[in-house]
Amino acid sequence: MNKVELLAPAGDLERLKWALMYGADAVYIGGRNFSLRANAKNFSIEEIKEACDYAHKLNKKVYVTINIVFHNKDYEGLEQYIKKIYNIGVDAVIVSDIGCINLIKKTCPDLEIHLSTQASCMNKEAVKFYKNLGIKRVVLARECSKEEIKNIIEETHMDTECFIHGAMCVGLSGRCVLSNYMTNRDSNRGGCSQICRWDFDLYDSNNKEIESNTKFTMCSKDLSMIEYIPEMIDLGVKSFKIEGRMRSIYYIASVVHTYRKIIDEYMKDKDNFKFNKNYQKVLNKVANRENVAQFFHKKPDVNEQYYLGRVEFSNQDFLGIILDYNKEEKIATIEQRNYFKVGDEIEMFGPNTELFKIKVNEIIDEEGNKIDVARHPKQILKIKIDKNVNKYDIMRIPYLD
Amino acid sequence: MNKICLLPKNEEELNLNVDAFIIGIKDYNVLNTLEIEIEKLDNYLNNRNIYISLNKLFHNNELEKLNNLLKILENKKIKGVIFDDVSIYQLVKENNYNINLIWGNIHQVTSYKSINEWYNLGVKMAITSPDITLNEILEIKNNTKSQLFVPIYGKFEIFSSNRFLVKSYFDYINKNKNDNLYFIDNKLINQKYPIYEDTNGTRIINGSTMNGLEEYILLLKNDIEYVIINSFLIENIKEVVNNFKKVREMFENDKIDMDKVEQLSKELGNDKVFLNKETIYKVKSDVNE
Repeated sequence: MNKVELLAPAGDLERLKWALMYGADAVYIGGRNFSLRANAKNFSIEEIKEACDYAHKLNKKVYVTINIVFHNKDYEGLEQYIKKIYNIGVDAVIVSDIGCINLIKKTCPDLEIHLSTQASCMNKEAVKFYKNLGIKRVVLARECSKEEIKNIIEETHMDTECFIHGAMCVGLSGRCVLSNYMTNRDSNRGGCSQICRWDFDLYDSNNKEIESNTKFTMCSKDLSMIEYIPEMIDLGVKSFKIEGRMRSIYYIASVVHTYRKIIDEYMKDKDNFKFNKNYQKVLNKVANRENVAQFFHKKPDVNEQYYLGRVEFSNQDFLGIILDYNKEEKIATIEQRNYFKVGDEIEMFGPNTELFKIKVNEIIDEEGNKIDVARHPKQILKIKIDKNVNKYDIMRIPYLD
Repeated sequence: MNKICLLPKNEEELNLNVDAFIIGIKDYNVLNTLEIEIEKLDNYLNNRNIYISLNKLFHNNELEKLNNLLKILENKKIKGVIFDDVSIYQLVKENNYNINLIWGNIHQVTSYKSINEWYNLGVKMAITSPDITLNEILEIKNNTKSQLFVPIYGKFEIFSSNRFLVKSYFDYINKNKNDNLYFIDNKLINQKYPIYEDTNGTRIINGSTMNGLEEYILLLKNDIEYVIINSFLIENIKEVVNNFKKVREMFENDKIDMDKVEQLSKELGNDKVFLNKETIYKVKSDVNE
């Protein structure tokens, strides 16, 4: 069976390292310009180089998004930028604008081009068009069903990449400028103000308000393909993409780790694979929104939409990061990330650490004092952990029974 | 000479004296314009210049029917086919159909570089996005051989989804959706936006009416080939068309009276949308990056 790629988002270098550590085969990042997440920290040229050096040492890949819809003046500096990132060694660029595609082909013909989901490519003839243009991989529109994905792969033999987790655009990608018209922020150049998450009053064509305690909204639930990974592997999808360049390291590590395990378990023993429902539990806890499979098996309806207010709350499950572990003394040095105290039960997991639980019996601060509560962000503390842990393992509140 | 192209909202408006019309074929179009069944197309072609909009994005199971439709259209006396989905280009090329294609990806026709790429592929007409400025339009014109359709008046579509957002909402609140056209409003924007939903999904249209009558003069001076007037929800479309024709006549007779143009423009509304306004996203942090 061909290897599949787990592709993770990275809004900055720290996120990139965590994504790769926790099992991503590749990451996608945006530069300071030309990317649709204009308000993320993004990567300078030096940081893109550092990202590539780091990833390539691990035999992993870096893709750079150049996925805005270009206005005339936006091409300024693009040619030099393409040359710079090509010379740095990025593995591919993710693009939708046909003018940009042509410029890349002329400037750096060896630079691999992936078609962004912004192109909303959703059928085999469209894929053939882009294949003829020299595109090496298509990120399919999120509106594609399972049958469509299968048919496209079978008929075109194009490498395909599909989103498997994260927030969804409720409109067709690249065809929504609500943000432009309602807030003057350009959605196709990285300034989207997410109008689709607003509440609205709804009126009929006679200007009569539709009365309800629930306001009209377009907000959709997030995507999760967690139960369908084996099916997608069998379809021949080459790359599995997680959305969220602006997500926390905890989210990225948890989601990447979960999908990594599922992919590896299935690839190792397809015939005896059994879906472990704990993985779903983890994803539900980490995400702060409901998630569903969206278009994969059917057209979305009321069950795929949010109406109760998309409450965003910061996740306080993430308790700390292992900085060091003394095997003889069985003492872990940790960096606190959220409140916990003596007596709490916590879970530990990491890229090479199987999940286990412990009870916190003692917390020592940097001065060697025993304390009852770890309350200060990024405080450096020591706790006793009998099982071996590794640097960059994660501590969290228990998710699993 | 500049041509005025109308998106009519009903059959009666096909009698308006304009240079061309854009109409859609039902189930293949998502422009807010008159839609007809392909079987009835011949009834509309007499002495009219008709462009056909097939600007939907298509799923695999629609491709065979799409191809059959293109085969039919090849033999009709239409001026061209407007597309968004590149599968139309691919099918036309694979089958060598003799069809004039117009690139109509409504929000992505924003630069001369992209328009020129399509020109090099044999698509020699394009509809510019309603979201770009007049200066950008003129810069495009000065840097392309492509013939341009420029949206200049009306309410244009600003969102398209394959989801049924209105129906889903009605299902959630246990009420019946009885119509295709509704309106949404929010106190932050204080403007009602039409939201239209049929079997193709949901579309939202700009709530205010773009009026580029004053800017039309510059388009005329720069030899823009077509302007598009969208009749959707416009009650006084005859007056709109007449005012544009008056301005064009002034220009052709070299007798532009700006006071008169201003007065004609005031009659039609005062929202320029993005003709004179740029959108914000992020200032480039480093042009050398």
